[in-house]
Amino acid sequence: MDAAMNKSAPVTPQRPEDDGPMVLGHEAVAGYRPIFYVCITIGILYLAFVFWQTW
Amino acid sequence: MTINVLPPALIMILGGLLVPLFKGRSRQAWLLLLPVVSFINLLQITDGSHWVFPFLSDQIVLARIDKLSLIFCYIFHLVAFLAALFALHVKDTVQNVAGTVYAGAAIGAVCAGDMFTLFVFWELLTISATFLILARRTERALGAGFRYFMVHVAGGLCLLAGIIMQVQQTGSAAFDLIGLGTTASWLIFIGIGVNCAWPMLHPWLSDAYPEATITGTVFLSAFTTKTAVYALARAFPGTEELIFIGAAMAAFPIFYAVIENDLRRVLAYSLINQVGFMVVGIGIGTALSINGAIAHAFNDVLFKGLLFMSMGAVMYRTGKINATDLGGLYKSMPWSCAFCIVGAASISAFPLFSGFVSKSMVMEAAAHGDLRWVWFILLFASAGVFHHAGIKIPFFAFFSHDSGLRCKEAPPHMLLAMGASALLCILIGTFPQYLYNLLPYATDYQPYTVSHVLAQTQLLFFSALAFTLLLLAGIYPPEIRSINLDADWFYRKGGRLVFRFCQSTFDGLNAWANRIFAQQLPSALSRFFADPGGNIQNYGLRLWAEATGHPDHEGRHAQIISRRNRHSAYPVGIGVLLAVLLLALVSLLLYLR
Repeated sequence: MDAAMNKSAPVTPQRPEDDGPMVLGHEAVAGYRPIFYVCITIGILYLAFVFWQTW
Repeated sequence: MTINVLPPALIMILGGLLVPLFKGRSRQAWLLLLPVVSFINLLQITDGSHWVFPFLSDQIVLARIDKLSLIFCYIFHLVAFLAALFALHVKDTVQNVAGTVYAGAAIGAVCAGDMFTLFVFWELLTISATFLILARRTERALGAGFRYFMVHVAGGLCLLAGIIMQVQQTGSAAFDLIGLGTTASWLIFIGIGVNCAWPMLHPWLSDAYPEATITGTVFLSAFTTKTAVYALARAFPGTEELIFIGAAMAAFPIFYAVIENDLRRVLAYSLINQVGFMVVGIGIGTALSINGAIAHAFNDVLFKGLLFMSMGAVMYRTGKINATDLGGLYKSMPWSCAFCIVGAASISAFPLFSGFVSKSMVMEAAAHGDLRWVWFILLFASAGVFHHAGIKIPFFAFFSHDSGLRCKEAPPHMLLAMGASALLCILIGTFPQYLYNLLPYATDYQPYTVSHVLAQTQLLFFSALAFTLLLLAGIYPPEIRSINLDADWFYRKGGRLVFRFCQSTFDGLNAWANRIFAQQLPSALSRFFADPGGNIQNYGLRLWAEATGHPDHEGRHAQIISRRNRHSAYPVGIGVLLAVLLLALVSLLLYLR
C-alpha cells in the first residue's frame, strides 16, 4: 500500500486487494427459514393493508 | 467589490500548484492551511457578482455569491480541509496537487456567474480528478482513469456545445435559470447529467471511484456529483424530467450495491443512490424540495466522505477492501468502526443523525406534491440504502466472520478527520436549524415530529430485520469476488458494433477511393497525358468509325495519326475543337452558377 503512495512507484498489474478468497457464503442457521417466510408473509399483508387504506 | 480579497477558487488552485515547492511538515501545514485561508477569504466576499470582465460580446463573472453558491462553498471548504487532514500522510505530489486543485475547481464552478467560467472550472474538475485516479498506479486504475477522462470530456463537449448555442440564441452567457426546451438547453442538461451520474451515464462513477487512491476517493466523493447537483439547482429547478431520472437513480444502484463485493464500489453505488434523492428534490422544484436537495447534498458530502474515509482507513491498514477478505476488525480498529457506524447511521437517516433531517425534506416534498409513486420509490430506496450502506459496510468490514486480520488502528490524523466528520453528522442531525439557516429558501420545516420519527424508525427496524433474517435463513446472496456487469456493457458492446460498422463502411470507402483516386485515375491520366493530342484523335476516330460503320478505316487513320504524332504535328482543327469544347464547358458552368 505504501508503495502505491510513493511517487516513483511503477504501474502494478494488479490491485493488492485482488488476492484472497473468491466467495464468502452465508450458511443458514437451522429453523430460521420458516421464520423468514412467516415474517415476509406478514410484511406483505401489512403493506397491502396499508396501501388499501391509504391509496 | 473589495480589492482585499481574491476570487474564491484562486487560493486553492494556485496554492495547489505551489505544493511541490514544499516538503515534509511544511507541505502538510500548507495543505491544511489552504482551505482555511480560502474559507476566510470567502467570508470577506459580499453577496452579488464580483470580478466581472468583458468577454467577447458578453462578460465573465468569476464570482457570483448568493445563498445557493455559498452553502456549496462552505461544505466544499469544509470537506477540502477534512480530506487534506485525512490525507496528511500522503507524500505523493501528484495526489497533493490534484486533490487541492480539484477542490479549488469545484469552488470555482459553484461560484461561476457565467457559463464560460463554469465550463473552465468544470473541465479543471475533470483533469484534476483524473490524476487522483491515475495516481493509484495500477493497471485497472490507469484504465478507469482514461475511461473517466473520456466520458467527462464527452460530457464537457456536450456542455460547451449547449453553452455556445445558448449564448448565440439568448445573447447572454449568464448562468441562471435555463429550463428545458431548446436544443441548447438539452445539451447543457445532458452535459450536467454526465457529471451527475444519471442512469446509463453513471458507469464512470462505479468504475473509477473504487480504483482511485485511498485518499483520492475521499476527495472524489465530495465534488464532481455535488457540483452537478448545484448546476441543476441553478439552471433546471422544477424540471419534471429530473423527478423520473432521480427516482431511477435512487432505486437501481441498490441492486448493484447488494451484490457488490468491493466495499468502496458499494459506496460508489450508494453515492448514485443519494444523488438520486437530490435530483428528485430539484425536479419537484418547490422551496421545500430544493432546500431538501441542497441540505442532503451538504450532508452527503460529510457522511459519504466519512464512510469512504473509514473504508480507506481499513484499506490503508489491511491492504484489502473486499467483503470476502474482511471481517472482525472491530477489535483492531474500534475507533474507525465507531466512526463508520456514525456514517452508516447518518446515510440511513436514523433520527439524531444528519441524513434524517435532509432526506425527510425531499420525501415530505414528494408526498405534499401528490407524487405518491415517487415517494414510494424513495421509501424503497431509503430501506435499500440502510441495507447496503448502513448495515453491509460496517457489518462486513468490522463484524461478520473473523477474517483473521489483525492490524493497528488508523493513524491519528485519519481518526481526527473521521471524528470531526462524525461529530458534524451528529451535530447537524441533532441541531438541524444551523443547517436550515444556510439554505437558499427560508424554511420552518420540523423534522422531529412524531410521525416522521416513527415512520423512519419503523422503516429502519424492518430493514434490519429483513437483513438479519435473510442472513440467518441463508438466503442472503454470498459475497463473490467478481465483476458485475453494469450499463458499461452497452457501451462496450455498442462500441464494438460501432467499430465494426465504421471498419466495414469507412474501410470499404477508403479502399474504393484508394483504387479509384490513387491507382486507376493517376494511371489513366498518366497514359492520357503521355500523348494527349494523339489520344484525343484516336478516341474521336474510334467513335467516328463505330458511328459510320466503317471500322476498316480506323486502322488506316490510326497509322496516319501515329505518324503525325511522332513528328508532333497536329491538325489545326483538333486544337479548334478542344478550344470550342473548353469554351462550351466554361459557358455551361457560368450559366449554371
